Amino acid sequence: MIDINGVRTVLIKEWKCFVGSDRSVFILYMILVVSWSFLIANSNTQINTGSLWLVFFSVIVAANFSNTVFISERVTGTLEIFMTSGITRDSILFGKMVFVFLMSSFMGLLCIMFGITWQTIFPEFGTTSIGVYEIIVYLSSTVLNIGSSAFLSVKMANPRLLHFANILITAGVVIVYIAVSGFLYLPHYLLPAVLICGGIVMSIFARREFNSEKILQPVIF
Amino acid sequence: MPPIINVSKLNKSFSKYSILDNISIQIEPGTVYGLVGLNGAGKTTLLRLLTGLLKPDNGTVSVLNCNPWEHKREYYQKIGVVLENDGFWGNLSVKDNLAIYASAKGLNSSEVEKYIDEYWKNSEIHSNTRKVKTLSRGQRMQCGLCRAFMGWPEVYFLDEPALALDMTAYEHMCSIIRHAQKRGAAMIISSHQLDTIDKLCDRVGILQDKRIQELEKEKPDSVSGWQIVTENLEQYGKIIKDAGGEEIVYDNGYYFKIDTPKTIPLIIKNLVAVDCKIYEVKRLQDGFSNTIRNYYNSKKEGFNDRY
Repeated sequence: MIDINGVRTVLIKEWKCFVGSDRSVFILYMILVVSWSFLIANSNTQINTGSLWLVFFSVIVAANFSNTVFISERVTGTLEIFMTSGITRDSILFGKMVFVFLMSSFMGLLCIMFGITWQTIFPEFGTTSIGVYEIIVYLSSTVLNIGSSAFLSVKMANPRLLHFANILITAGVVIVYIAVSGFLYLPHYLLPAVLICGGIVMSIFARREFNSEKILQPVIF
Repeated sequence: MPPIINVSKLNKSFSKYSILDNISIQIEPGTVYGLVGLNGAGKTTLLRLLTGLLKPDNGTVSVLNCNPWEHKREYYQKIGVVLENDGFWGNLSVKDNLAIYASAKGLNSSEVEKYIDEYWKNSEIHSNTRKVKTLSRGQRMQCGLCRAFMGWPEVYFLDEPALALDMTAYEHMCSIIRHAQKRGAAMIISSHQLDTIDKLCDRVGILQDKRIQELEKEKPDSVSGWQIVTENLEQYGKIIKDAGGEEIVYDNGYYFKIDTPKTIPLIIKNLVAVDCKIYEVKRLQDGFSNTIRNYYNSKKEGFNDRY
């Protein structure tokens, strides 16, 4: 059962914890955003894959935030007490997922803005299309990554593999989509729809794990 | 009064290892229940079952007429918890941490401020804006206690609440627990500190071999002996013995058993006669601690080595 006050408390808590992080965290995020925005902006290289850069950026960003939000709480033991504080487990899970989504969206938009800026400053980069569709793909990929991160953070005994597993899941969906589109005509909106559906399925699995005893099992590093 | 905590035929195993077997406890409002047991006996597991963090394999757990495993918001708002881990976010200040937990409990900030002003004024918690990661272990425990008693819940589960507390903080914790008890709260305190169990608990259960055995407390007026605090000189022990006491030397004085309190004036008179400086004379009562010691000694579990 999700209650709005509980979700609000979780969001406030996550925001305060993020703001209170060490300065190095912000520096690393800025380096990541700026360097990735060059990849998005530059369409004249052989490694240009268009909007897929955005998809894989969402994997990295969402998994990073999920690491902090889902796993570190289990490592430090704060989740145990938080679950007895008066906020339902569903609200905690949903609040955390919303927080990761908001932060990933912000980072993605920041990355796109930088990308557009580089294209303006350096015309030789070319003009990679960064439109509404790319943003929708990015956001739907974020939904899948958050769902799978939440699920895997409880399911996997060693959450160090979280990034890797996330990349496999997202890449799997994208590869299947590309492979099928080689034989069949697939409408544009299908990729984001598949990503969002995948995210919802993963979230349902995550909810089941969150409401089990597994949430308390020790994290192995 | 009907029990507020009702555990019946509870079993819990982790894979093939059975931890708790057929545990039954009933605790009424206003009762402080001490839970003792050797390391690994299952105390923390029992507290986790009562807080709904673990699911029982068999049996029933009912606290405040709720099944903790249903994870209802209303249930958690009526319980106060101190677990092994203090659960504070190190990068946030004490104030921010408490504000988040207050919000989770549905308390408003003015209620929390009033509570802290009233009950934690002389502690480090009052107006503490330091990040939790900079606090000592004892200070963090005080914050944990402050959080557990916030809003004065009806039931408390306290796992080693006296750990790392200094003398002042310890006394403060005792007074807060007694205050909650007077308000009718039921409490389970798990502790290895027998002084704490003696001082605070009305009933005590020992977890041993997956089962719980409740101990009978000795009569409150029963006297196990007397302690007289003096310098440790051999001649003083002899005086005590000569006067009819069975003396045992402690680091900070003599402990002696006597058949009749009438012997005490004679012992003191004789000690004063040889210019012995007497700092303190006190009666030692039998409490749970002696009963617990006797229990483990009878089980030959090497209790004296552990405690």
